[in-house]
Amino acid sequence: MALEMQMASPSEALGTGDGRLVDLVDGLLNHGVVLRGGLWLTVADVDLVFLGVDVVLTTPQKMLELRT
Amino acid sequence: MKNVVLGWCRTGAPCPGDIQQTVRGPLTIVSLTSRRALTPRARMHQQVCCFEAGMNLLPVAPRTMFHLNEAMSLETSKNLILLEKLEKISGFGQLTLRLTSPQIEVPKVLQSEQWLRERQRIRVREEDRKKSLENTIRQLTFGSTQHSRVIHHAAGGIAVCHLLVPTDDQAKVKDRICSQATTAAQSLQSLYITGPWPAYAFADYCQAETERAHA
Repeated sequence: MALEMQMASPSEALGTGDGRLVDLVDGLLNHGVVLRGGLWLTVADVDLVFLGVDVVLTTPQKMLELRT
Repeated sequence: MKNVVLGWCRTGAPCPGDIQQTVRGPLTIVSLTSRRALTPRARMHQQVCCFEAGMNLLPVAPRTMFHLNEAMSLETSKNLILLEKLEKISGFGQLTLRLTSPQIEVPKVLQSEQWLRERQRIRVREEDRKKSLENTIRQLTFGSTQHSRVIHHAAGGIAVCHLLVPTDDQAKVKDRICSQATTAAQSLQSLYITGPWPAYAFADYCQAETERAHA
């Protein structure tokens, strides 16, 4: 079976209509530093509920200290 | 108009002209007018421009909208954590690989008992396929710990792997992956390589994402 191989720079991946690259870029959009998050609950593309989440930015050790 | 934060860099780092820098000690907040960073993809595009201009950027997740005034009000301790994170990814970029293995043939079985047995067989084969993709990723990425890896699996024999690679090595690593893929990876159907990106998958600090959950 022939291997389908493709290389794309970030600009190419951002500009393409190729579904596989679009999925890949969409996945990357969720990564990075997040200091405040939220969740939209949607039914049939209608936003019903927004759940805001404030995140505490601290080290795991500090968090454990605070809990105990 | 409020500025939107793209990320943080070391104070004094090179920066494209239209990007605003706000110095907070050793860290600099990199931001842009919100009009030019309205969508996640627009923010990502700007982050890529900064990265390609030679900036070591600790990127904010493009899906989130983080305003400059919020970043400026972060406590010193939080800035220190961000600085530590930035140091770890400085001089590195991210290569992202998307691999697929061949589809599993699903026979049409109507009887319930056969259907159940078939589902079980497919599940076992999916697990094998997942393991085989992980082995392939190890093969392609030299089986070493030289480059950090993050692997995600999606349904249907798709795996996505992020590699943290030194900026100077990226072309070499891409070429090596391609040549290995043609010879070693017999079980692969397709391989997509993109990058170098800012190190998104290695900048995750808090996994609180803004998501849309479809009910």
